[in-house]
Amino acid sequence: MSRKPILQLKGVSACYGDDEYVLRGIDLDLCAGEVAAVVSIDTSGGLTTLLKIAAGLQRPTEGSVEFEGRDVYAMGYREDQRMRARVGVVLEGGALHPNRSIWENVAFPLRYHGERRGDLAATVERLLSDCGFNEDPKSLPWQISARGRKLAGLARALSRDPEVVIVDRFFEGLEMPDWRRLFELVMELNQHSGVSWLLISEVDSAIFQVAERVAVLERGELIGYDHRRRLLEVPKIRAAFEEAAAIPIAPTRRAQPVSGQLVGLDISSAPLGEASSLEMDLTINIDGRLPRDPGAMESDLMVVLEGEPTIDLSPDSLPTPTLAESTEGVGVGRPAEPSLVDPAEAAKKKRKAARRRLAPPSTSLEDSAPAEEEATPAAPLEDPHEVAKKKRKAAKRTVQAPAPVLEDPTEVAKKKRKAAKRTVQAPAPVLEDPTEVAKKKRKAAKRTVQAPAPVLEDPTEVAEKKLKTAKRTVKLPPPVLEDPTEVAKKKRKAAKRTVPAPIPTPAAAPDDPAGGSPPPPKSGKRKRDPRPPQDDPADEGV
Amino acid sequence: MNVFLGPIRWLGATAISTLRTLAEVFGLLYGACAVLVFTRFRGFRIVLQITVQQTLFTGVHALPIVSLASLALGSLIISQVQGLAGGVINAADISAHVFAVEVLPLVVAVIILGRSGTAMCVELANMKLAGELDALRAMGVPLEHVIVLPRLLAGVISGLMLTVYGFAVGLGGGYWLVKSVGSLPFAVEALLNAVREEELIKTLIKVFFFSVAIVLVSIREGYSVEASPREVPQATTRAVVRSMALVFVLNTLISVFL
Repeated sequence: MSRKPILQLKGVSACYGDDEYVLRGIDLDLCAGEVAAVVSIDTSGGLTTLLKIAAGLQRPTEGSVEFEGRDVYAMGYREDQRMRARVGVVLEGGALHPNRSIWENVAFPLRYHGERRGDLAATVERLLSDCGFNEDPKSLPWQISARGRKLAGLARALSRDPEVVIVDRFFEGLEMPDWRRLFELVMELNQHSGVSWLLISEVDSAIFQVAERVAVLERGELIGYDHRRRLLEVPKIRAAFEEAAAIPIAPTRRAQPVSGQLVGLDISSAPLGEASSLEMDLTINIDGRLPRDPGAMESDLMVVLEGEPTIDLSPDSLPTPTLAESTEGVGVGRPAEPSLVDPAEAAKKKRKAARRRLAPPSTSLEDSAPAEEEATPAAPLEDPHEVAKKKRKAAKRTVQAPAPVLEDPTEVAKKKRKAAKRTVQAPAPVLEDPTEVAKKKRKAAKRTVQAPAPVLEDPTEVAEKKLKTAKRTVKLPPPVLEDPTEVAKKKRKAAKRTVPAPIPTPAAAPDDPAGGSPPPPKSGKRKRDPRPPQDDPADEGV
Repeated sequence: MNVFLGPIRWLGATAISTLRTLAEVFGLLYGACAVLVFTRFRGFRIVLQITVQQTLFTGVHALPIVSLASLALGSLIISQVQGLAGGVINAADISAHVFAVEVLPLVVAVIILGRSGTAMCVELANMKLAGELDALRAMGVPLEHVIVLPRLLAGVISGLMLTVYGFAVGLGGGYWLVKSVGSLPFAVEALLNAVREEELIKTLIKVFFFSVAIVLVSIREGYSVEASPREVPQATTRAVVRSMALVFVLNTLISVFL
């Protein structure tokens, strides 16, 4: 479904004087519900002349202007009046009447045409408010700022609910908040009321955030009228916009969120780069609803992927990065060209993507990795320092890893055959006799039944057993070539010191200051141990 | 050869320019009349408001200068004619005829042109430079309706009003002024009664056409400005010169044929 052009300029030329052409052979069309812009990459001008010609205010020297197929300059009075009611024009600087207040200027077309007599005041206030006019509406135009005049001019142009709005010098005299507000206003009227906009602007890449198509003039001639991507393929136009980008770029356009879902995700390649960055070609198939005419011409499609990617950036897992399947939320800035995605191709890609998800990880990079660097499942709660250490080690290993050598294909084939043989020679799982399996199971069950049941022992008994176990542990002969008698004496002494040690009661928490912690030793009255600490076998046992 | 061709070219160019100006002036007049039919009282209040404003400016605000000019010229004519003619009846008739039929319309035309014609030209030229005229057209407001028609009506109403006022002040005040300085052999009633009804109508017809010509030429010259503020004084000068030329031509034609 293609949109019909509502305003067409056919071979329009404009000449001042004898041979001073400011426009030459301009062919331009504005479709219904479209936002288009016109810029000039040089200072030769012609933009305001183009606006006047398009708005039916200045007859072109050559060519014609058609509004819904009717020549604007051949219309009669009534037809012209009908056309004027549907086209709003904002001229440079607002073009307000200097002897009327802002309120009267905005109300003028409504009063003249006898529209909205009842709620005139409310309508004027709403228009001024919508456009962000926040100065005194009772002031005369020369008493307010240029910004205020511009906004009041826009409010006046919108007063009759036009279908087409032509704005001269869209960015001129506007600050960032005004720009944002006007941007929202343009998009709201465009998307909800289907208002077409033709914006005359200076070269500014921000215009691409508003306009679907941009016409570029040079020396009064049209050198491009297309979408952003195709326009910027022209070096001259790209250079002009890049040069103008020194001016602060307008804010990022807020996408209108729409319903949608991810139906396919295809990572076609994953070249090995640094461990902290990856470059990959990502094909995303989405299924959702576009907020505009599906037949609209393409521009930018913004897809918002929410959630954390679960890509393991370690070199071991580089070949098989996957994104979380929980990715959701699709935001659409401009509708995409439907012809870009053939449904059949999309279905094929979906199937391929599903196969890739089901297929085992690729092993194309395993040869270059050391054998001991097998991927281990990451612990859920690891110490960050430990993780950082591991990453550094992995990075070192990656750097130290030998570069992949281009092997002889015959050798590779041999290796593959050998690997296949090994795979074949591996013992296949033997299908056992079901009766034998049943017997084994019964025996195992018997053993399980004959196992002694755990007895709830007395805690004091348990403590005594532990003490005995500790004694036995202490009595283990150390593997030192010492005199056995001396060793036996030492062991006995150590056992004597170990037995009177108090057993920590479970009621006393380690961090309990009341009774958990032992009293600090008094340094002055402490008995000196005559033996060196390294000779104490109790230290070795505990 | 160029010595002969140069003046001929200038003459031809001037003739073409004059004819073009006249065509555009008649075009404006036609538009102002036609818009009354097409608009069907749409925007009547706005047009009436502008008309009243323009009448106030062109007519009421011009009363002092019209009073002064009429008084000065009336007393001058009466005193001069009385001194030259000598006869009682002839002096009154001649003074009244010269002042009322020949001098007063030109005085009113000069005042309207000097005060209002130039102002209209400058105002419209600036409005065009500021894009206000284009803005009005873009809003679906015909310029003939809110620009030409109110000024035309105001010019005509003001001209006729100023003529009647100037007639009274010029003859009555002039008589009183001359009488206070010297002696006059006739009464003021004889002076006022010397102007016949057809002469008064002829005067009003002259002023009507003068006013229309001045207003339309001034508007046309104001429209002629294209891009530069420097064109504004040039357009104003053209408006004065062409209006005066047209007024003189019309004065002669009306005096001869009426």
